[in-house]
Amino acid sequence: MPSDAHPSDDAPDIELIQRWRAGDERAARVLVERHAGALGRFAASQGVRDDVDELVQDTFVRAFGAIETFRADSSFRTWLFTIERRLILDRRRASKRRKDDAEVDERDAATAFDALDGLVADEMASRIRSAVGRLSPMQRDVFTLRVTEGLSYKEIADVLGSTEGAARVHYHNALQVVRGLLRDDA
Amino acid sequence: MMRKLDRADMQDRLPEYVHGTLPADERAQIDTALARDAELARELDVVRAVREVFAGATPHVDVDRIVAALPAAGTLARTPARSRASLFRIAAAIATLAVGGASLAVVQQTIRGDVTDSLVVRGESVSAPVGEELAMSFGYDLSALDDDDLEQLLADLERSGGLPPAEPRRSTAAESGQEAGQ
Repeated sequence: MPSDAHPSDDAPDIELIQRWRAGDERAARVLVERHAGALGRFAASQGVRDDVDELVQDTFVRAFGAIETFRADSSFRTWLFTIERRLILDRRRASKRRKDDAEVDERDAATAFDALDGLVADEMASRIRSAVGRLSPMQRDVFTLRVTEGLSYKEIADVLGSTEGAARVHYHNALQVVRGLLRDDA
Repeated sequence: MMRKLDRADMQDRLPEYVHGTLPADERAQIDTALARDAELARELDVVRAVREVFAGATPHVDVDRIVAALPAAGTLARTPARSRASLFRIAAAIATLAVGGASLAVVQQTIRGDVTDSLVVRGESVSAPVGEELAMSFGYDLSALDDDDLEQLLADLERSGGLPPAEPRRSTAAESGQEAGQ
């Protein structure tokens, strides 16, 4: 039964999910407002250019449509990242099939990262973006989820289908690479 | 109890430090370390700068449109993702019934003797090739025919040209003995 109380903006995700399942439409808005930005940034870091908005929407629609399967073993945000990443991979595969382009991943992902070109302005930002763009796709995914979104190694491992140990190694390697590139460019 | 962080722990926690999600005691330890560890401070600068750049580059997302596209609140309680599992169960039940039913029909037919007693005669010669394609089948029970009926049937077949142009060669007594001895 819907609650009359307005969902607090700082209520935990799981509480908001329960409210939404009980019929509280406003709880969904709070969840979307809370996580949409992070999903948008992650999409951009994955090379999504024009349809970030649509991708984020699809992610939420999928998540809410399958909310009964969310067991809260991981955080709601981690679950959203996992769904979004899967959508991105599906789209990438579909796009590859359409183009009949056999070249995959490394180079494409590196150029796709240029999607952020229009989003960063000053020189320092451009150097940082360039340095992060030179990471391998896995290093970049781990690094941006860790640094930009503050995910734990466990959460990153869940999103990327990897292990905590691997995520830790990728993060530290990425940090050293970015530091080195920024030092060289200075 | 406060956990003492070593340098690797502190390096590991710099993102949480930047995000402000560290417990107070861990944050205090890192603050102390940063005051005397220039290398750690430089790593923190990189993490902080990267975070600022990318957090500031958030693409526009239309929250209203997303919320409007979501399923209505409370509706999934009655039609959860479980319905997909239910559909699968129904499909599995139908498949089981179909396969099981077909198997039962075959078994019943076998028990009645429809399969074992039905006879299919293919017009193929044993020792000579058949000149033309020939096939006949009988839908009645041959075991019910007596010798006279069978002779009549063979005569009818011969008249209609239904027998193969060459009959099986009779084996000689010597051949029979040879085979028996083997």
